[in-house]
Amino acid sequence: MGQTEQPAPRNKHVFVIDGSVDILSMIRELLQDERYNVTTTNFVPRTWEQIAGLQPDLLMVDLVAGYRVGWDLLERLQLETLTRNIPVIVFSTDAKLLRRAEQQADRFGGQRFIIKPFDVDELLAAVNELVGTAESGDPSNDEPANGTFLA
Amino acid sequence: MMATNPDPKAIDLHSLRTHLTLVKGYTQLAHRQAKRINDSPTKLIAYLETVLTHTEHMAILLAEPDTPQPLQLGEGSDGSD
Repeated sequence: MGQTEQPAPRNKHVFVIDGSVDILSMIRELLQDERYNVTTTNFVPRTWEQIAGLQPDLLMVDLVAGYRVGWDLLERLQLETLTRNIPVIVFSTDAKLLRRAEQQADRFGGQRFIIKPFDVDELLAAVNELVGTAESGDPSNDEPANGTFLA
Repeated sequence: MMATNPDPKAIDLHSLRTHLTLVKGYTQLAHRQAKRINDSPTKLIAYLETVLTHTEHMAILLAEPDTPQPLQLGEGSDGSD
């Protein structure tokens, strides 16, 4: 009789989308240091497909004044069954934009809204509240965190 | 020394805030690293060098608002509806 195989424990996976590769590098550094697996990208045409395929535990999406790409991505994430239930942290350098996103959270989603510049502890606290600590809770899990940049 | 600009409206505030995010973030990463027992001097130095780089970018933005800064985003038109 075959033995049921449990999937290997894995660290929580955070997918970050931001227009600045420098911000992406910084967040990757921060989250990997806390043992989250991190995927980053700066708004490529197939970002939604990448998210749907990878099914991360958490998304972080940047909104920039004057650009629709962040709004379009948020709206599609909410509309599609495959991505609707992935929690989202929305961040922006523009407080007005962030407030507008929060006011329209039923359409664009978002569980936390964080202004840039942020405090790294504030960001980590939001991640922890939404998905918990990086590790699966299995004491045998010694998987090192990895980071991937999708171009 | 404080840089002053005759026309604050000409400053690219998005770029300025992005560099500020990087300065603050990497300063905090450096602080976390420095407090560790098993700290990495290589990482600490790299974080602090990044802080200096983005501080310089902010100084340039404040002194010469029209200078293009290396912060670009993909295609898009308007963030509002």
